[in-house]
This record gives sequence, structure tokens and C-alpha cells, in this order.
Amino acid sequence: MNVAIYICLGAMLAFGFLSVLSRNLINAAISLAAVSAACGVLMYVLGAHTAAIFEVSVCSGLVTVIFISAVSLSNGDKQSSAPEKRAHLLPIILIAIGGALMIAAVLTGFTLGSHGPVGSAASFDNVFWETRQADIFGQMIAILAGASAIVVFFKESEKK
Amino acid sequence: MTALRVITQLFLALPLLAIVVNNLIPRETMRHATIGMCAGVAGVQMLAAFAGFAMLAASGKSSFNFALAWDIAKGLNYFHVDLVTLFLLACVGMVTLASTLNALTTIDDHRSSFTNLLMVMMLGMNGMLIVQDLFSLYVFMEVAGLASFVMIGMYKSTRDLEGAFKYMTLSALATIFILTGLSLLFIKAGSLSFSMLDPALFSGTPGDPKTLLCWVALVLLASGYAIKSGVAPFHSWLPDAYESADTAVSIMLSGIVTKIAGVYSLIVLVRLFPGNAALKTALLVLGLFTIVVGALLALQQRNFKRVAAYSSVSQMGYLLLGLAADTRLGLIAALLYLLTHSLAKSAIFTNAAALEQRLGTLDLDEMGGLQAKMPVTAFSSVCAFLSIAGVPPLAGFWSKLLILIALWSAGLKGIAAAALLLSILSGAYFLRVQKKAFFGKLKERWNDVREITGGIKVAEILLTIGTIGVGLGFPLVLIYLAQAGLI
Repeated sequence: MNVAIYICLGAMLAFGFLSVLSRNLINAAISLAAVSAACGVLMYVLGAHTAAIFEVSVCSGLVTVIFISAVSLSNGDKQSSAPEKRAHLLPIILIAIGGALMIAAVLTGFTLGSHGPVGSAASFDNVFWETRQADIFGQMIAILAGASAIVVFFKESEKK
Repeated sequence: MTALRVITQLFLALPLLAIVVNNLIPRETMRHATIGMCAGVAGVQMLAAFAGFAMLAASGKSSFNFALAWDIAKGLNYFHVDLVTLFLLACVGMVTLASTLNALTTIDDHRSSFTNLLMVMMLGMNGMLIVQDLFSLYVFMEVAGLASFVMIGMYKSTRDLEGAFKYMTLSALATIFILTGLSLLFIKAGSLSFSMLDPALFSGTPGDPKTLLCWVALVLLASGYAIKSGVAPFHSWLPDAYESADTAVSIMLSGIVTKIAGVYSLIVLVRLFPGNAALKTALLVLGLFTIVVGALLALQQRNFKRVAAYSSVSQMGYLLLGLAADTRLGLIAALLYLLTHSLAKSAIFTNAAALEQRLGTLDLDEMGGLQAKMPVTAFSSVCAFLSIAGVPPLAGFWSKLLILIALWSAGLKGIAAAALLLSILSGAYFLRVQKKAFFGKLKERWNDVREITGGIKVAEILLTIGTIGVGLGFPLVLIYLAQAGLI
């Protein structure tokens, strides 16, 4: 099991790096989908089966489709002729911090333990409809806000 | 308690109902009706929250738990209100009402989504105030944030989109901080429910990695909420967002969104972890730094809205100082300061809307002598700036005084003295704005300018009455606090 966890973490790191540094938006979106897919596998291995299904279907699938559609609509997939300055240092610093934290965790024998709804025997129905009901309601309103954003940016006229 | 049960349902049901009705009627042709309906929702929320406040105070209970209407039968209670949140819910209603009155004039017929987004923003803030869990707080914060980004950029000009982009970028940074902080806190606490979080999380055996992570979590959460508050040095997004947004949106952002998304979240931290010396010190340092930076930058601005924006940054520092006192009086002082600042700042942005409508510019160098042509706007602006500068007997004076008393009685006498001295800076940028905009000789090009009319004028009058009225009635609050032994 540990091998699978390390493979997933390594894949997330590699695809995350590709996603941030890619010059092509489509490639960046696909790399991001790969990060989500690896994260989904990691969640499954760790026992969070329902979360893994959501991660793969929504983050890796649906969100990628929306990204690629938006990039295609805005012609953002075409390469810019002008050379761009890119901050390569930031992702490297962040990865270094993440690596340092991982090494510190291994050296101190740090374990997360098992907590709350994900780690407990609470059923999905119970978590979804009772324990996290407020969050579900919030997510519904967030979707409503997203729909309004699409109307504002794609339907309404530009000039005041 | 039956009445309170009905009132609490209104905080979610009314904005949702308004969104449904908004989308059933042709909004382009009934703009005034839809904005008027939102004004009604805001007004009802303000009155309902005040009524709920009175009922809860009279009942002697500290809080009231509830759930969405269809979950009550299941015996679920995942939402709650207390005196603090009911007070803030009333503030949300008040500022939204001021925003809608401005929107009647400033929002054009092609902005049919404005009312939807305004109600979504209101739902986001209401949700933040009634949840009992730090993760749910984050979810509703994102709802309010998402509505804010879209509303700032809704005219799609380069300036609007730049303001929205800056806000979104810094909010993304805040999101990273907050989510990482919540994850680290969850490792030790095993839950993010308010009832499971207490100061004991920070005490453990020396070198315990989980306790260390709780401290890291506290730093990350405080930083994330500070970005949302727009306090220095996390303020860079705020002036651009306020300046580029429509004035009705600026009123929401300055008057209440930053206060609920940022300051209320910090209030939650202070209430969950009372007596945390590190948090207290961080709030003190951030508070003083914010007062100085905001005021100095406000002094250098040439645009009316940017002065108001930097003034908001500066005044946010006083709110942090009230929280840093870490006493019941400090919390009450901060809440009352939030109310008086919301009133005054909404009035100032309403003045900005009036000037922009009549002059077509907000450049202070192009104004001058407008008091003769726009007496209501000039009077309203003078009252609002005097209140913010802390001049008696206006509302801002009393709330600032309470913050100083709270700091003094908490043993932070040096900080109280520094805060008092720094309020001179507020007076300095106030005098500069009034002199450049309203006093002196009227410039010839403004000879034909007339006083603003309609919703903006109504909002100016109501907010000015509020600023003066709260100031005159404030001694009653002081008497109550003295009887309660708080001062």
C-alpha cells in the first residue's frame, strides 16, 4: 500500500509541475486532470472511496471538459508569438517546502491517524445529507453564482 | 421561540426567493422593480435581525440553533445565531439596502444579473454568520467571494477586469492559506466544528508535531482572513477593486463584505481561542500597521473613491485593535465600530456615486466649491468623514472611544494612546478631501451642476440620519454597558 501512495504522490508532483510550467493551456488543463486522477487513486487507496469517485468524476473529468471548452472558445490554445516571462522559481520553492515537510514528517514518525466522517464508519448518506448539509447548501449557491457569472461574462453587453 | 424560528428561516429563504422571482420576470424591462424587491429583502432582513436580537436578549439564552425548514423534522440543528451574529445580520441588511438604493441609479438596464449576484452575495454572508463549522464558514466565504469577483468585473472594461483579477488572485492565496490551515487544525482536533475547537489544542507536550501544526494552522488562518479583510500588508487588491467596481458594488465590498469575510472570521478565531497571546499580538501589530499605512496612502490619493478605499484599510486597523483587547468589551467595541464604520463608509461611497453621476469624474483636483451646488451631498460627506475621524457627537466617535477604553482596561495603555494619536491622520485626509471637493471657490465648469436626486439622495439622507442618530443615541449603549459592569 505504501508503494501505491508514494507512486500517487510522485505522479501528483510531476503532473502538477507540468501543469504550472506548460506554455500550452490545453496541456496545462490535461496535466491538471492527471493530478486529480492521481489524487483520486490516492484517496481510494486511503479508504475514502466516495471522495475518490467525486475527485475523479468532477475534478478530473467535468472540470477538465469545462477548462478545455473555455480555452477553445477563447482561442487561448494558440501559442503566443511574443516570448513570456515565467516565474519558474515559485513552483520550485513550493515543491522544496513540500519536500522538506515530507522529510520532517518521516523523520519524526508523524502519523495522521483517523478522524471524523471520512475515517469513521459514518455512512455516505449520513455525511452528505446530515453532517455536511450546510456545505451542500453552500455548494448549491456557489453553482448559482457560477451560472450568474457565465451570464455576466458571455451574455451581457460590455459597455456601461 | 417560535417567532425566532420563523425569523431565522428568513435569512436564507428571502434572498433565495428573490433570486427565483428575479428570473421569472423580464429583468431588462423591470430593472427598478427587481432592484426594489432586493431593497425590500434587505430591509426585511435588517428589521428581522434586530427583532431576533431583541427576542434572544429578552429570552436570556445565548444562542438559538436551527436548520433548513425541511430538516427541522429530522431534529437537525446545523445552523445557529447568537447576539453577535444577529447584530451582524442586521448590518448585512442595512448595507445591502444602501447598495440597492444606489443601484437604482448606477446600474444600467443591461446588468440583469446584478440582482441575482447581490442576493447570492447576501446569502454567502448570511451563511457565514449562521454556520457552526470552520469548513462551512469557508464554503460560504467562497460564495460571497465568487459573487464579488463577478460584480467587480461586470462591466467588462479593462479597469473592471483588472480590479476583479487582482481581488481573485489574492483571494486564491487566502484560500490556499485557509484550506491548509483547516487541514492542519483537523489533524489534531479531528473536527472543524466550533464545539470541538478550544484553546487546549495549542497546549501539548513540548515538541509534539500536532501541536506545532496547530500553531502553523493559526498563522495560516489569521493570514488568510487578514487578506480577506484587506488589512495591511495584504491590502493591495482593495483600492483597485473598490475604484473599478460600480459604486453600488463598492458599497457592498467596503461596507460589509470585507467585514464579514475577513473581520467576522477573525472574530470567530478570537472567540474559539480566547487568551491566545500570539493571536492577540498579531492582531495588535497588524492593527497599528494597518492604521498608519492606510491613512498615509489615503493622504496621497487624487481620486475620491481611492481615498475612501484607503480610509477603509486604515479604519480596519481599529477593528483589529478592538479584537486584540481580547475582552468582552473589546468584542462589543469592535462590533459597534463595524456598525458605525459601515454607516459612514456606505455614505461616503454614496457621495462618490452622486459626484460621479453629476460631474462624470472623481478626480479631486478637478472638483472644488461643490458645497453650493450639492449641499445634501456635501453635508452627508462632512458628517460621514467626521464620524470616521472620530469627532463627537457622531457615531464613529463613540465606537472609537469604546475601542480605546477596551484597550486601556485590558492593560494595553500604550497601544490605546498610539491609536488615539493616529486618529489625527484620519482627520488629515478628511480635511484634504472636503477642502478639494466641496469647499473653496466653485470652478466655472461646474456652474450648471445640480444636486443628485432619486435613490442616491434618499440613501445619502438615510445614512446621514443613521450616523447622527446612532451618535446621539450612543450614550444609552454606554449606560447599558456601565450597568452590565463592562465599563
